[in-house]
Amino acid sequence: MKKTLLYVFSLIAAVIFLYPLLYSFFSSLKDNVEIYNKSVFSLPEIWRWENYKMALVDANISRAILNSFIYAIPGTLLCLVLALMIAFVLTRMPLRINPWLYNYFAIGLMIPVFSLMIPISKVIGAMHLFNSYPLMIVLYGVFEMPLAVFLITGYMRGISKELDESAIMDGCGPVRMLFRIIAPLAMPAVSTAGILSFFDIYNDLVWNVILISDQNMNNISMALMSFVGQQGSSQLGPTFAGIMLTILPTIVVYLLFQEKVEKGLSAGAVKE
Amino acid sequence: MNRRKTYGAIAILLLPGLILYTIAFIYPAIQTIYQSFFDWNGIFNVPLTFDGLNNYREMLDNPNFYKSLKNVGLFIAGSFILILPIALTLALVVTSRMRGKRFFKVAFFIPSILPLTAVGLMWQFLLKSDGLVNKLLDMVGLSGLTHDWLGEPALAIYTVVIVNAWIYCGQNMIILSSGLVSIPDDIYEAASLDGANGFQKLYAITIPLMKETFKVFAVLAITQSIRVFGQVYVISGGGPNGATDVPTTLLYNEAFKFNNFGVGNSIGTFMIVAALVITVVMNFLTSPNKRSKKRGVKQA
Repeated sequence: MKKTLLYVFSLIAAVIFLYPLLYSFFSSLKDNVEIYNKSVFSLPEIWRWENYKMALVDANISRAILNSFIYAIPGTLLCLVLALMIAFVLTRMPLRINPWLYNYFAIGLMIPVFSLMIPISKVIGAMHLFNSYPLMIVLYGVFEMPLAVFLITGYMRGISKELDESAIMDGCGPVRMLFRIIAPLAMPAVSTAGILSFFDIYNDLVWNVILISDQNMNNISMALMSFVGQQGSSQLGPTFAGIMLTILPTIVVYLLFQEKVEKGLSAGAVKE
Repeated sequence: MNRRKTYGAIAILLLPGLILYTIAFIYPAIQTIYQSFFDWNGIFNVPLTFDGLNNYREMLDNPNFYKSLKNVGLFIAGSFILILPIALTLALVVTSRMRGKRFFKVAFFIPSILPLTAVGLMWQFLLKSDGLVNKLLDMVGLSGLTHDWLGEPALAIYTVVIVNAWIYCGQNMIILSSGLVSIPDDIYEAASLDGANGFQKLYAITIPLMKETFKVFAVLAITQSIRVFGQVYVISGGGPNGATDVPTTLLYNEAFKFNNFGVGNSIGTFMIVAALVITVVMNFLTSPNKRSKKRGVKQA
């Protein structure tokens, strides 16, 4: 009896979470007549894959997905390398200012990045650096850094220092020790931080809105917004197709790295 | 000589991150505060003009500013009233011994990994007057309940808060499940032997032992609610008539729509100060058990 109740609840919840997505998927294969006039539960009469072609070509969603990866992969790597190096200094180097440094980076966890919009766009505008991939990558990398520093430092503290001592005895310098010995041991925290920043950058909206005006550099959020802005409700099929296309890569990444993604996205939980 | 070498290594490891962070994060934050006392029209070579506290006066005179604070309050309330009970129940499901829990976990979690823009636009269409939600209501004979969910000022913010809950229940389910699985099984077994029923166990064991996790949830609920942007920007743009504005969208609109960069910066400054104060207060409130929490993190 109790079990049945739990099942019923779970099934209802699953429907509430998944049905809107399923409905959007079927709508992405319909035309307006079908969407507006037929029952919401009807399957597409013909599977209009040309909606996807429209979204890919006209809205340039394919380019946008590529752009999102161009921002997210190097941005994440930059963030992780910087954070690893900082975490190493914070946990392994006998600096008297270390507690201050740690708090200095923790400020980045507290301040919402949105409050930095105006000065950043002003400086970048004055330097005529709108529409620059390298600049966006560096910015993204730095914005994700505080959380990565926090996660990786916390983990590195727990790695035994006996290894360091024997490495130093063997004449291993700090830089080599970090990348050869400590970094591989810190991989669980690194991958958590990596997943988190990858999703953050891939899904970014605000910085692309403010700092990118060249349509060829739009990420998925911008491409989707402008596609829907032009189309409005006049052609819902291709609009839903565009939505499905931008959703797809994140689902693939999630299904490939399920455990890591779940851990990563809830890692904010250890924020203090 | 060895010492000099060590300092060299420290410089190589620390400075790149430290310098970039200072230039791209700390310096802009300071600039936000500094420029909040100046007027600027958004043209890059036009200099700032000192304006004293006028930007703050303008911010405080704007009724939408108070609306935006109220809306943050509603997002926080939504976290505790909607997300917490639902996510906790979902967490109980996916940590139980139920069959198919793996499927349910994926199903519940998926909305929180999807791009916010895509999900926001999807809901925007589903919530239109002729969208899915109203059609379903019609079908089950509840035509009286149909609304223009995002068009009616009195209703729009509640709609956005509910969509926000739809997005983030899964993520919070994961956070809460990590607290659930850390409760040892033998406590439940002992309780069963003493004849406790499921509800009693939840009330007497699960909830008290989840205290630390709930604290984390509370901190997150509040700090994330100050940061809400994408949901509102995409779904309603802050409209109709500022009804769904939050501080971030207010800042964005003031600056990039109305070229009121000074006022934008005073809102930004308000956000910075509020975030710092709230973090310090929350840390203070949750600190008595800090030691045990740290131990827990280290083990993980």
